[in-house]
Amino acid sequence: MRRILIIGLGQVGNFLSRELSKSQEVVVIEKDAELIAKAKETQDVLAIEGDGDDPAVLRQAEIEKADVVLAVTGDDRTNILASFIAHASGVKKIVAEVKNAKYAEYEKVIEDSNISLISSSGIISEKISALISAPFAGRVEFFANGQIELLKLRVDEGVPIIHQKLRTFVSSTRNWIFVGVQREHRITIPRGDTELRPGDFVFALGVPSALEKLKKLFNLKIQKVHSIIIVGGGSVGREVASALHANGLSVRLIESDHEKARAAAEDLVGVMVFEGDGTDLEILKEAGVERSDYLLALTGDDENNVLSALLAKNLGIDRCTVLYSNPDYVEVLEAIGIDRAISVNMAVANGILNSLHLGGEANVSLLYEGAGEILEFDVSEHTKILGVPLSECKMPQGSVIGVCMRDGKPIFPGGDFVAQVGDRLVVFSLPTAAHKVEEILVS
Amino acid sequence: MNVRFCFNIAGKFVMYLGLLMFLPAVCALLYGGDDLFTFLISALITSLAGLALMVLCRIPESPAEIRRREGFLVAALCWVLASVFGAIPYCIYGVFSSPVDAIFESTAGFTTTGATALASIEWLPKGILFWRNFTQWLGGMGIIVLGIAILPKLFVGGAQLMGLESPGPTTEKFAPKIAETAKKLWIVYIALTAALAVLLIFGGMSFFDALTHSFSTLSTGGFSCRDASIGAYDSVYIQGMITFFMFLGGISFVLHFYFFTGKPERLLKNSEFRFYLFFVAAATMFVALELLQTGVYGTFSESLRYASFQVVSIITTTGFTTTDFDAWPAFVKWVIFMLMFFGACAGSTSGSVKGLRIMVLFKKAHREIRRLVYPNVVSPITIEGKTINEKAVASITSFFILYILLCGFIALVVLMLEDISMESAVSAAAASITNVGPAFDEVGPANHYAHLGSPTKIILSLAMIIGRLELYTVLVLFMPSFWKR
Repeated sequence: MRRILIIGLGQVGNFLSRELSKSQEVVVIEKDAELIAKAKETQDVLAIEGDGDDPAVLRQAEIEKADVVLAVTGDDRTNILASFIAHASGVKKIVAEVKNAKYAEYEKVIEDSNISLISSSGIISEKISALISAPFAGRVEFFANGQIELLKLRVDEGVPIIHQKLRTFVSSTRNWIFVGVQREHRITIPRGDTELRPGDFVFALGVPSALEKLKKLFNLKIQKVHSIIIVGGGSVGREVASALHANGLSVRLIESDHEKARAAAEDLVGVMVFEGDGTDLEILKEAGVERSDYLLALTGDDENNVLSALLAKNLGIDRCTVLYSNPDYVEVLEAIGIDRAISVNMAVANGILNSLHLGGEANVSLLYEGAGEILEFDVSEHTKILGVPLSECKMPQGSVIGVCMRDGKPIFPGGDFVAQVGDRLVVFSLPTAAHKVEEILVS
Repeated sequence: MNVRFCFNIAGKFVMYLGLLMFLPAVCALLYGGDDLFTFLISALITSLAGLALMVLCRIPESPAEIRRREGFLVAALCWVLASVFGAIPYCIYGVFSSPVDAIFESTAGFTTTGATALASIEWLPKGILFWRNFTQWLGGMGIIVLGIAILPKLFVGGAQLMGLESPGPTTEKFAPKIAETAKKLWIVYIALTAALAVLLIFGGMSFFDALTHSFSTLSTGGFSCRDASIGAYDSVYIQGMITFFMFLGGISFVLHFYFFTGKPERLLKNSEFRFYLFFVAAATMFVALELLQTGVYGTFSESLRYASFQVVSIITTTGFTTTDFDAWPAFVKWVIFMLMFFGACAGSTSGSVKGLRIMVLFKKAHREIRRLVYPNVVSPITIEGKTINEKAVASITSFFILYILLCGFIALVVLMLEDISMESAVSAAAASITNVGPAFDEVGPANHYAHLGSPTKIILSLAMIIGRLELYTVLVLFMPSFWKR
């Protein structure tokens, strides 16, 4: 068990401590007494009230004993300072979140340091770029170095797969597998006799070529994106705009702040920048919503993002993605027709979790505010299920081994599957089972 | 509210409690008593009942965590069931004529109250005597804390439960994992108990007496296997040792842990500990001088010896006696009565209101009076330089008020049911809810609770559990809204 010190219990810190405290020793520092009280009550962590950059508080948290320090307060300078103190205390692995990308350079200030500064706008822009380059909006996450993808597919009225038992649709080429069904906000693991109903969402793990087959089952419209409108010219918006423009897309940016709009126009050569409110119909029309394929609403304001996206939908735009930070919204966003909602905090938390690479342990990605998890494991000589056929392994309820990557090729395990050393397993799990999965699969 | 889940956990808990009954069986075997089968049968019944409860309330998929509401129910259930099943050996052996008496004795054990329904103790076999004191030892550090330490998987969401069980307004966790914290607390507890047992054997006690008295000393329980309690050992050394270890039992075990792991300064700097030390010293002085002046004892050293023992015994809510303090002057009795409500430190094994709360109440009272002079003064209540937030202050105030009211109400019910003096009833209610044990007059140290009626015993048993779980955990179960979705 490692000792992990998390500084800051905002949404990012909260996700991290909830997730990590299941299997590790977690100490958290937070200055807000109410957040401390809540953490004490709901999580098995040692919670200390105080400022994250206060040496006395860090001493009290015994920072020198920590194996990993994660600095994720809302304040960049506190995070950087805390990570420097952690470095000076001899901590081996330090990850700090910085909102302002320019601070990321501090990573190099200390030579040979083990500090990694993760820029939240960088993570989000990477995620969005991957999303846009994919030919359809349901693509969710990538695993095993991008060779496996998780798709979230909506079951609409009239699609071929509706009201059928899932077992009828086992892929003949076995290049994908249904791992989860989300019905009325609850994710369950489907069985052979599960029937899909309109309004359900299905999670499928598969190789990119599986999409062709799934396209037919779900009546998916697949279109390549040519022109895109971005609402919000903050750090995220600008980073995304410049990345997409570099990929050869036609990008238009809408920003309400005069100074920011001007700065964006100067920086982003080739991107058309409009000054105005993204919730203003006239501005959206002027930017050419009716002729565009995709709208990204990336301001820091959840409500405005949703409103922009809905207006654009109404004007006939094909797809839209919004950025949000309030976790309470996630469930309604899809219901009201937003194709994809990206949580800033989840993206950062996942980025940090994955950067931890806790030894040979699981690489964890949380889906949908933690309603499901994807865990990646490397099989070693010490893994408990080594050499045992899958049908005899007691995998916990609420989990399924989706894919096994062996010698760079995907295998979709059946009951006769036997794990070998060097395999990489991608497991879909509900939060209740994740801990047991780790127990079984981590050596 | 997942009631099935709570009963499922409680079932598992009872099953393990049954296994613990094999320990007194071993003791019965060693001393060749006729109570061996009593414990074998009790262990079997308890384990099977636990298993049955577990199977009856099995749940398809265990919920991820215990939420706040479930926590209250699980904690209360575990304590009530422990008290009921703990009474089985007494019933089977026929210690009492009525099962209510057995439950009273068992509850007084687990809650470390130490009130007894036995008119005489010494005729009992060793196994039963061991079980009486062993229940106190289990209840002292907390049966749920023990569960968390040994079976962390059983008590999912242990942090929540431990907060509900451990004495005091706050639980200081000193390891990131609750199971680790619980384990360390138990190790300190076991070490101190063993230390006292060895010291008592040096003082000439038999192994059995030393062990059982160590159980009820560190747990601040107060059961003795002698009719005259500690008064049966007329040795300054033994009484001194027990006084000192009762005092230790009244200190937060977190501080003990720091003391033994090279941070003794934490203990000395702790303001609650200093407050406790000061109170013990001051009360001992007052009582000793009064005893000397009224001529109860001839010399100052003798007065000091009896005074310090009784003061520590009452303030830590142990309830051991070396003499019949009911025969002492009224002034001393009143000091003892007030000390009952004081209690020792938060996080110790003692019951009652506890030092931290008393300190906050004093500071609050001081602030309110100061406000009359300076209506606009800003004065946060601080302990060791740390501000106690106003919600916590309000909660402590209402705790105290509720404590006193409840004590008064229980006394009222007892007087309604029994034909005893007011002094007896009030002190019995106080001694039960504060987990002290012996009270005054008809339920004083020279007497016992045997002559009270069954309804009274049930009321007092309930008071002990309410007191042990610090009111709110049990009282919330009586709120209709608690049971609504």
